[in-house]
Amino acid sequence: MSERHAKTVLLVEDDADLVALVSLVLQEGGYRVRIACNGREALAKLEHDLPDLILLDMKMPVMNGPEFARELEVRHGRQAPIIVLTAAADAHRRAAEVGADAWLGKPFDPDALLSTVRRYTG
Amino acid sequence: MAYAFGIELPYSLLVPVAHLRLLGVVDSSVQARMLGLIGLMYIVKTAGLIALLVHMLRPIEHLRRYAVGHPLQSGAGVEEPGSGAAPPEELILAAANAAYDTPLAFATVWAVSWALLYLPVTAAFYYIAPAQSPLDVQRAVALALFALALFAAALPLAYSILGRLLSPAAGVISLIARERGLSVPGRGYSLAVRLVILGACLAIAPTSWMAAMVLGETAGPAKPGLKLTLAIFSMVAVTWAPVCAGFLAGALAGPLQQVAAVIQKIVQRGEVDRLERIPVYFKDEIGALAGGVNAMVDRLEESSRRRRSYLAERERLLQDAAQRAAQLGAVLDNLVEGVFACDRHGRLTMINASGLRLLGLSGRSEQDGRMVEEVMDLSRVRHSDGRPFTRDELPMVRALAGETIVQEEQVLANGRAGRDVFLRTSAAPIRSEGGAILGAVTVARDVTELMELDLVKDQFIRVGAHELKTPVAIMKGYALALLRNTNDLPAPRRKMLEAIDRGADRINRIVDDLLAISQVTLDVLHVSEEDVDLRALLNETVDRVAKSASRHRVRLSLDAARPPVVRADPERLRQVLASLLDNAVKYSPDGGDIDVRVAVAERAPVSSPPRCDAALFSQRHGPSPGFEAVVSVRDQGVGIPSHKQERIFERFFRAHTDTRHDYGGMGIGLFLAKDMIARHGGRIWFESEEDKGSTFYFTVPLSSEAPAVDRQ
Repeated sequence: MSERHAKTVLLVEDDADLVALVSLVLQEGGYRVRIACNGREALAKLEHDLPDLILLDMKMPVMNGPEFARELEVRHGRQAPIIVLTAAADAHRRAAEVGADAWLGKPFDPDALLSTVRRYTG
Repeated sequence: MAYAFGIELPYSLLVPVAHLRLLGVVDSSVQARMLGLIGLMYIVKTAGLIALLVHMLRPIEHLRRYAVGHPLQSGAGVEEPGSGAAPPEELILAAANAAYDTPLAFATVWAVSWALLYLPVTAAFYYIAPAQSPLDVQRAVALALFALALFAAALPLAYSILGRLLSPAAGVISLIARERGLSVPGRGYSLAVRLVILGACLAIAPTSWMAAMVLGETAGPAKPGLKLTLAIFSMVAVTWAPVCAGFLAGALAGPLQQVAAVIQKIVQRGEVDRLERIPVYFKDEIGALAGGVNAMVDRLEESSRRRRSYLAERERLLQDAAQRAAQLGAVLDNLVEGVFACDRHGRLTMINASGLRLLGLSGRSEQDGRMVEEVMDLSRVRHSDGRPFTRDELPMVRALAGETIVQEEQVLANGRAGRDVFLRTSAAPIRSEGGAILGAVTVARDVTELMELDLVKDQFIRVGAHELKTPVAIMKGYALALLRNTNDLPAPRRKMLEAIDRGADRINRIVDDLLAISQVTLDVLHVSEEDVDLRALLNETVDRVAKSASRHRVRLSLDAARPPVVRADPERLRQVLASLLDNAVKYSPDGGDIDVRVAVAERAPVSSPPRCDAALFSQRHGPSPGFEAVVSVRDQGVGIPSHKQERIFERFFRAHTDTRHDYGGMGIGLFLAKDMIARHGGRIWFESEEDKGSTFYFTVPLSSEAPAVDRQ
């Protein structure tokens, strides 16, 4: 929670309003937020530098969550923790499938989001 | 009668000549006088005999006259008003007796009259011609033999003639008597006895005749004309026997021929009912034979009638059966379901049009007698989970073993249009009255469309619900973010934001329910297992509900002797509890206490829970003993009407639909609660009284790892 060295969160989510909400909550929590609209875009952004944590939506156009996770594993291995954001009823199973560290079911409490993110960014 | 006496006539002329020769009368004036006397006597005798015969035949005449006087008209019958011309029984009996008895009786009288006729003539001869030498012994013996010969000759002759003449009448009368069901009393004369008597007569008559003649001719001195005398005598002796025999043969042959003709017709399978009855001419063996044949014809006619009515009945039944079979066939062919039947060896006996279509077969007749597993083509059938079928698993084969199969699902590969066909199959054995299995019947329904529709529908619900979640997340997220960050928010604004948050929660819960229900329907609902402290979960959920239910007092109390840590999916438990609390709030609109309790109890035997899906329970958790948490939610609301309590856990059932207590809802909360609790190995039930309130209970097994420490 040091302000000097803000942690970076990569948010992979296609819904603009939700992106705005999550960005707002995370920025208020002191995080730097990078945004990708789908898996492909996220992979492109990862080429430059790796974030401290990835917030991953499951259902997206072009490249969805699981595909992204698989590709990430191949290209970079597991370097950043992944938190899955999903509307699926069996969220924990979906999360386990992609090897995520945690999951948040939609809709979520901003406080819960923040506390989960904090847990995985130390 | 004239006929009878006509036959007698030539003998009547010859016999007196012989008699005169026997007496040795040569004087022609004496001869003339003697003949005159004989003629006179003969006329007297004949007149007497005719009178006697007429008397004896009177009953027959009465019957004839009765028949003529009572033609077949109603009203004429005095005695029996119903049956018109039917003659009285005693008349028939008397006539029958006369017809049967007259021949012998009258023949006897006639023969005796012949034998005795010449006694007075002989006596008169000695009166007319006193000059004659007195009657010596030889001539007396000759006269006696002469009388005997006449008796022996006349008896069979008369009997034959009369028998022949009266037999038609006797026959007619016998038929009349038969129609009336009368049996004619009186003696019958056996054919054998009659033949013996005839034989005796045939022997006695010519012998004694010749003896008498020889004795007569040798009694006095030789006289002229001996040759003539012998010739006359011989002619008499030789001719009468064939005449007798002829009549007798005729009397015997006629009835026998009729009997033979009837039998011939029967043998040739002629129309049995067109046969006439044979008249019984004599009460002898032939009569008995005719009677027997008549009885036989009666029986044949009766059995033919029975056979005809049996055949007609059979024809009718066959037509009935054919019609019913046709009806059944039409019904079966127009069924949507495929229907198959087989015998107890598993050979196909019936398949309807839908069945042929389902299996993609053509030509029903080709399928008859094929084995079921061939027709159903084992290689194409799979279980719904993809396993291949063995022969013994086929519903039809299991039904043959006595099992009844209800709505099992199979997949038929490469069915209609080359696609997989989903079948829902029922099968049952066909049993005889004694319970033996005669075969089996299978009804298979193509549920492919239904399954596809279900899949599409659930897909739709899943995707739709999923799509709803993101906007809900945005609403809820912003509302909470605003509430969190702006401490100086005016109270009304804060309330608005809280309302937005609650609304988002409600939408979210409905979406969750819809998702869950589609998963339950598809049986893919997943229940995670982790140790959950019920106290924390209950606290959290009760707090949330208490916030929104301003008019109610929601109280939570814990009676447990040890911490209620259960093995469960916290999300699902939250869903169940939220459903129960929502209902409690919703259906106690006037406020009141809502009590939530949790206790720990020893797990009850599986069979005892009143409204638990025991099968699902034991399938997942087995009947292992242990402890369970019992959660109850009690309200003081409107309660559930008793007649609706049975259905309260059904999908989409709403107890208060369109009543004044209809506060909305989708009727899925309790259905899901029951399913989820069952998946946890728990039970759910309720007690409810209208206008007093309801208490819902559910149990969840305690985690076995949970430390069994007493509450300190």
